[in-house]
Amino acid sequence: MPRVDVQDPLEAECLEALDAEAFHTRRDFLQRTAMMAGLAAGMGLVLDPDTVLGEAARRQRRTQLPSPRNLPIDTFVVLMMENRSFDHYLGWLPNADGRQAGLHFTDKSGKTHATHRLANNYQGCGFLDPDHSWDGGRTELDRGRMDGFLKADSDVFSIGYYAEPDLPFMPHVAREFTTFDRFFCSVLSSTYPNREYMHAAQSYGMKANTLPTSQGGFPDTTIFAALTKAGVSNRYFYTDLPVSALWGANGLKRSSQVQTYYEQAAAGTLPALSFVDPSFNGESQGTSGDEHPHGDVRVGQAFISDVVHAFVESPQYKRGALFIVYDEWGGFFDHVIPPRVPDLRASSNEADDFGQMGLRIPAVVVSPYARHGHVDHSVYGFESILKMVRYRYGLPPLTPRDLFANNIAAAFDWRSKPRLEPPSLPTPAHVMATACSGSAPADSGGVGAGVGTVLGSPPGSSPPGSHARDSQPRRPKPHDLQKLLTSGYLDRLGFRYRPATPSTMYRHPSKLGMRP
Amino acid sequence: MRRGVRAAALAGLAAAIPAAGAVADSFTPVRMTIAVASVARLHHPLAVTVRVSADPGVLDTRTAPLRIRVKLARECGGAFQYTSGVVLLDKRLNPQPTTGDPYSAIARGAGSPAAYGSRVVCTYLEEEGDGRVFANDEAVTTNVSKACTVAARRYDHLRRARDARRHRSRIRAARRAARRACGPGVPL
Repeated sequence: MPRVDVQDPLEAECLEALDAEAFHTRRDFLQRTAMMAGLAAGMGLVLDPDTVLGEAARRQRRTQLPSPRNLPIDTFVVLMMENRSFDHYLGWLPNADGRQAGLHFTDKSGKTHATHRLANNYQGCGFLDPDHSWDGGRTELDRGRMDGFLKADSDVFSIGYYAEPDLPFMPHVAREFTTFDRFFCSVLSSTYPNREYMHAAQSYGMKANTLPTSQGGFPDTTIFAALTKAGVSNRYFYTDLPVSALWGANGLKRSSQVQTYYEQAAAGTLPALSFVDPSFNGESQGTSGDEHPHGDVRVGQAFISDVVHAFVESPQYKRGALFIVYDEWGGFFDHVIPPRVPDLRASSNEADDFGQMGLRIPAVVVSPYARHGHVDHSVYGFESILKMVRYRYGLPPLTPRDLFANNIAAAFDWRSKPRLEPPSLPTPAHVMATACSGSAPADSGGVGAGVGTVLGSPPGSSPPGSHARDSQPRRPKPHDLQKLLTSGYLDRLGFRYRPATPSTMYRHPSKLGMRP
Repeated sequence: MRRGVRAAALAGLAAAIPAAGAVADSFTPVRMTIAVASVARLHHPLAVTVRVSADPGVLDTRTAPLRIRVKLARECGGAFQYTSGVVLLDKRLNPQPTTGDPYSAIARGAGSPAAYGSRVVCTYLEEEGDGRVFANDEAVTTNVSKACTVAARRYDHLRRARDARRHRSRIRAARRAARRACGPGVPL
C-alpha cells in the first residue's frame, strides 16, 4: 500500500487509489458528504456523522421557508372553478408534464379513439358530461393504467383538449406566474367531496354529492372556523349558490356575494383568507359560469379574469397569493396517476379509499412571490393550500390529510425581489352563454359547438370560428350544487337565492362586452 | 484539543449552512434528508443516504410497515410505483416507528444511472402494500455527467494498468481531471 501524504488531499487520494481494492468507505463518504455541505473534508471526520449527513442533504434541498411570522403573505384567495383536467386544459404548457394530441383510448365496444382538439367548441353541447363520480373515476384510473376514460359513462368529449389559443385567460396567467403540474384534486370523486376537502381537508365520509340534510350541515371543522378561533379574518364569496351552506348556518354566516369581494379588493380590505366561487346554476341550459360542461368555458375564463384583475390591482396584492384551482378533473383525460396518501378514512380497499387522490387539475398561483413562467413539479392537493394558510397563522392540522401534505409555500420564491408590479394580463370579453338547444348530433364522434354570444357583438352573431350548430346535451343534467336550492335546503337555512346575472357576476357590469 | 476542533467545526458548519427557519416543527411532521452526489457517473453505483425523522406519534397512523424508496428519474410520478427510473433504494425502515416516540432512522442504497442528463432523486416514504405516500421529496437532483464519466473511466483505466506504478504522474493528472469533472461527491 503506497504511503499517503496527508498534507496534500489530492495526492493522498491519488495514491490511495492505486490500491486495487479502493472502494467507497464510510470514511470517504463522510469526507465527500462534508464537502457537499460546504465544509472542509476533514470536518466530516470530526462532526457527528448524522449532523454532516443532514446538513449536506439540507444544503441540496429547496430553499427553506421564511418563519411563519416572516412569510410575506397576508392575503390568501382561493378561486375554485369546475371540472377540468390538467392535460385537457394545460397539456400544451412548455416545461410541464402534459400530453394532448396523439393519445388513444378504447371505448366499451373496443373501438379506439384519438384525443382531439376542441378548439372553439366551448360548451360540448351534444356530448355527455364526462363521468367524474367515485366509481367512474376508478374506472378511468383503471388501477393505474389511466385508460378508462371511454369505458366510464363518457363519450369522446372526455378525450378532447384545448390548445393554448383556445382559452382566453388561463394560458396567459399560467405563463406569467407559477403553474403546478402535480396538483391532484383531493379525492377521486365529484364536486361536493372535493369542495369539502378544500374547506375542511375531509369530506366527512361522503363519496358523492350528498347534502348533509339530516344534520343541518356538516360540523364546522373548516379552515374558516380554525381561523376565526385564532382571530384571523376570513370570508367565503359566492356568485349564486353558496357551497358554504354545506356547513349550515355557520357556513352561511361567513358568506357574501362576489360583488363584495370586488369591493373589498379595490378598497384593500379583503380578509386574510377568501374563497371565491363562480356561478354554478344553469348547467343544464349551458349558462353556468363555472366552466363545468355544458357551460361556456369563456364565461368562466372571463370570471377568472375579473377575480384575478381585482386581486392584482388591489393594494393587498403586494402581500398576497391567489390560487386558481378546479374542484376536480371532470372526467376529462389525464395521463398522470394520482397517488394514495394518508387520510382520516384511508382504506386498503381501493373502492373505499378516501386517501386515493383524484386526477390532476389546472392550478396556478398568482403572487408577487410566484416564480415567473415557472412550472412546479411537486405533489400538491387542496390540503397543500390549507397547509400554507395554517403555517402562516400557526394553526393545528385539520385532519391527517393536511398534516402530511406538502406545504405549497415551498413553490414560491422567497429569496428574490418580489414582482410588485402586476404583469399585463388580458381582459377577455364577457360572454353570456346560451343554452344548448336543438337535436343532438347523430354522430357522437363529431364535435358539437356551443353558441355563446360575445356581449356587445351584433345580435344573433356567433363567436368567431364557432359552428353555431344547434345541439343539446344528450344527458341534460343540472349541476349537483343545484340540489342546495331544489331540495329546499337553502330555504330552510333562510338563504335567499338570486340567479347570477352579468351584473352580479362580473366586476364592471357597465363594461359588459367591451374589450379594453 | 479534540473538543476545540469539534467546536471550531461546528462553528464552521453554522457559517456554511444558511438560516433554516422553521424546519423541524409540526408543519413538517415527517422529515427526509437526502445525501447524494450532485454529479454521477453513468453505469457506476450512485450512493444515496436518506435520514427519516418524525414527530412523536405522527407515523402511528400507518397500518403496514413503512418503506423508504428512492428512484432516479427524469421526473417523479407522485409515488414510487408510478415513477420510471433506476431504483437507488427500496428498503423497509429499520427500526419501524413505535407508538408515541419521536422517530429517526437512516437507510442507504445505491443504483447505477442508465442515461446521461439531469435526474431527480425521487424519494418516497410509503406504506407497504397500498403504496400510500406519507412523505415525498423531489427537490434533490443529480447530473449524470458525460464529462465525469469519461474522465473517471480514463483514470480507472490508467490506474488499473499493469504498470500503473511507473506512470504515477499520468495517473495523478487523470485523477485531477476526473475530480474536476466530477466534483467532490463522486468516488474515484
